[in-house]
Amino acid sequence: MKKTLLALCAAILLFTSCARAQDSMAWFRSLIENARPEAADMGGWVAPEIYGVNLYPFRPAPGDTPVVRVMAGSWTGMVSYKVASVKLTWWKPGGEKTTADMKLIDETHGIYEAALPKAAAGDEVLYTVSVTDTWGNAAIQVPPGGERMLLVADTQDPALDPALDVLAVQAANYGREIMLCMELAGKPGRNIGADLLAYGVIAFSRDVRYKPSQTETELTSGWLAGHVPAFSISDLMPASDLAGALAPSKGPKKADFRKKDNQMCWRFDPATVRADYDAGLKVVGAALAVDSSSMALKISDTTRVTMLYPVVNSYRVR
Amino acid sequence: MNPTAARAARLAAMLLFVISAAAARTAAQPAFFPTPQKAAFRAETAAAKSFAINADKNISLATVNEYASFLGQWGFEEKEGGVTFTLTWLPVKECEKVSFKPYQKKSMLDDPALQTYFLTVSGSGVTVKACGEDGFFYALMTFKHLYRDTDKGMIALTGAEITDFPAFPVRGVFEGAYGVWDTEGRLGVIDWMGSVKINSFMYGPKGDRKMRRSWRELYDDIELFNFKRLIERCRKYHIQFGFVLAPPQGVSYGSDEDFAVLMRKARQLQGLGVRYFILAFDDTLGMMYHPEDRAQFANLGEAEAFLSNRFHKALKAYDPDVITVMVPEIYAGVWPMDYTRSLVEKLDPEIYIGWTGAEIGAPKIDAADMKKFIEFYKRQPSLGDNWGSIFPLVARTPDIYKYTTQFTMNPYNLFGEIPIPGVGGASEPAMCQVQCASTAQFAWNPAAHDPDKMVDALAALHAKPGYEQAFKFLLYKDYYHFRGYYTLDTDYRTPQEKQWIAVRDAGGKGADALLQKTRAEMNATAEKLKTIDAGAHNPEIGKSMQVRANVSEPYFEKVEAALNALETALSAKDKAKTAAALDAVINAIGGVDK
Repeated sequence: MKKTLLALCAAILLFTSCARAQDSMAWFRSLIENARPEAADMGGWVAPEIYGVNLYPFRPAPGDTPVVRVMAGSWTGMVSYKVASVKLTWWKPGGEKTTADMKLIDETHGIYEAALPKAAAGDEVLYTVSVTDTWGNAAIQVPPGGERMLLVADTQDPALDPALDVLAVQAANYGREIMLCMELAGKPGRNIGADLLAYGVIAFSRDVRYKPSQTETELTSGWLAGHVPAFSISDLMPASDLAGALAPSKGPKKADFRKKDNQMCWRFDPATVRADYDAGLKVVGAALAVDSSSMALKISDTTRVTMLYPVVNSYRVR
Repeated sequence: MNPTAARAARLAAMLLFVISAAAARTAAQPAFFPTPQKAAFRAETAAAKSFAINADKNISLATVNEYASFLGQWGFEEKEGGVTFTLTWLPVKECEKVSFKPYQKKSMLDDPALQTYFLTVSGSGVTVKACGEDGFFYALMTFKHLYRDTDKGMIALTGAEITDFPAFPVRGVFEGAYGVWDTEGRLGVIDWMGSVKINSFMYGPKGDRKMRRSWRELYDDIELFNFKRLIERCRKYHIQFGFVLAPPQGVSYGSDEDFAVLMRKARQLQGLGVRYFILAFDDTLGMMYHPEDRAQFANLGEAEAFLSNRFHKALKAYDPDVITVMVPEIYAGVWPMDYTRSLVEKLDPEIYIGWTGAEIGAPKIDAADMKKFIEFYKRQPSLGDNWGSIFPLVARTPDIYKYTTQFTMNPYNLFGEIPIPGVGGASEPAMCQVQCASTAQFAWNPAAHDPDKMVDALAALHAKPGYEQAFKFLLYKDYYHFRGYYTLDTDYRTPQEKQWIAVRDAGGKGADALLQKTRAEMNATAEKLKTIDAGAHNPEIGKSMQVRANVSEPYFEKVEAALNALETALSAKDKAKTAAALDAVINAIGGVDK
């Protein structure tokens, strides 16, 4: 059985490599031809961005009322939707979290403001920011500590097989690693008919195209934390090398896959995707069907786009 | 106890004593800079490459996370059994007891006590005490130099007792020339700056048209995103990101409309998190082009002061901690005139004045220069040293930290600013690791700054074995060129110049031997220069050094010609000709065309 599987893998890889060598548009064509826009609701790939989170005064003293200002927006000019809400969440270590809306104080620059409680000596306050735009895409700061946070929810699609229906993507920040979890409406399956199933959360390194030494587009700069149940294969691989989803990477595994309760979770070092991942990773959850004879990809369901910032802001009152 | 056991116990005690004594012996400082203010080093101890952190209740989570993050990046596993870090928060007065008193404590960056740290490494225990987050960070940066990887999962950890603080609370690199570094290059510079405790990066490349010629245009989202990356990288390394805005081309100094445009641009950067602004009026032939300005202001100084004050006030309304620097038209020397007197009278005392010393490229900077500035301008200068050579700083006296809290260097030659043979026009951010190293050393510990030692350290750090002399040669040669370009009248002479000067002063005694030695060294150096690009650890630095090496031939020819003339004079035993030939050799080596 194992030998048969390996032979099949080798055959598929050979096939896909040849196909890629002869037809560089093959992946794109199959994506375009088979996409279901109603399910792949990504809003033009444009997530809002958090450009700056700043505290005033710089070092709060006892008695100060620290103010957080956030610069956020969808700046590309590619989309018409705007920031719908900006929220500030704060807490003391081990304490309850409080969330409040931030007020727009500068429309030209997209600057929002909220005051934190009056500072007392010795206070340590942690805070994060989240932004949602009018399309439903989001930008979220996820603090270290391993707490799982919802990045994006996706409505259930009755037209889809539950094994292909993505319901949510969650994230947890473990400091050196992040975990992304994708929740499905049903148990993840190996196949539906002749279609093999593949699952993944794609993290895009958004600025690569501006790097003079590289020519990748934003699309091909993504990294896929993926799982192909038919081959029990999971790893983190460049999205431009989807064929890699069918074979484990040669080096040590970059993503450690765990499956439980219709959820698939990948834990990996975000620096693999981009060195300064603190500046934001654009994340999309996706379920794919792959035609086993033509290897054509069919995007079955995706979440909206979230800009993930695995960071926390904090200050200590001295 | 039986006699055998007693003897064994005595032997064990003696052995223990010998081992302890050996361990307690001081060891040489591991090679790194900036040199700590006070440090004693001891023998190495083996430890597992893992860490645990014991932080007292006053230590912020940010500091604990920072330690875990950097140690993780350096390959330490987070688990017991390796190096234990004990972090203790001290009241500021404990750090003030050991650190230098700053010229002033006016801004959030002025206090060296907050950057002070006490680091003890004993066995596998590391104790860090500090009075501010910056101090803990700098202790960690120093710790990085105190271990080396040995066997798999093991390190050798140098014992140390360090008390350390900076002389200048603000130590900066100013990207302030006509060229422009790219974002990736800048990020590399910032990574390096953090590792050597430089804590201010000023973005002011005149090649960014939106900073200067097209100052009215807002940055687009791509540009903002790249600024965000720079600012966040700076935060990671406790660096303040400064932004330069240069509006004099076309601005109406008193106009509300122009001011609104200026603030709209500045607010973009403030929104990103910039808290340090430089309003630059330099190098623009500023004039009051608008009749309204001529009616409103008595002179250009008044106009610039008016705009600067208004700018600072508006920035401060948004950020109470903002630092504003204005760089006037007259930014070198002290020249009493209507323009400068107006600045003295009208400029808000909270605003710093950017100043490069007595000259645009100051041959020397000493206490007298600083006092002259302070006496006239009634405030400390924001000192921006236009040192345009990859050679370490010379003729900056160690005591100038007493007269300003800020020492920044503009490595403008790394943008093709001055006509370095073969280099003109090149953008070389990676070379900041060579050139700005001296700034890191001088601004932190000026008393320990020695150009010759810096040259040795740079060669050891950047050149592969066998290439050190060739690497050093290129540094010396760049200094000769720079000295000639700016006609620097400094007392500093390179080791090779000193050798020849000594021979000349001894009436030519030893000239023969030195001639042979110089020839041999030159030949060996010339050979290595052919492949210096491969002789540097950092390929970017190697590439830049190769460009400089490729145009060395005329220099060698000139020195060879001078050596030949000396050889002839020595053979002829002609004292007068020998003396003249020795002068010619010294001039040729020092790159002086005479």
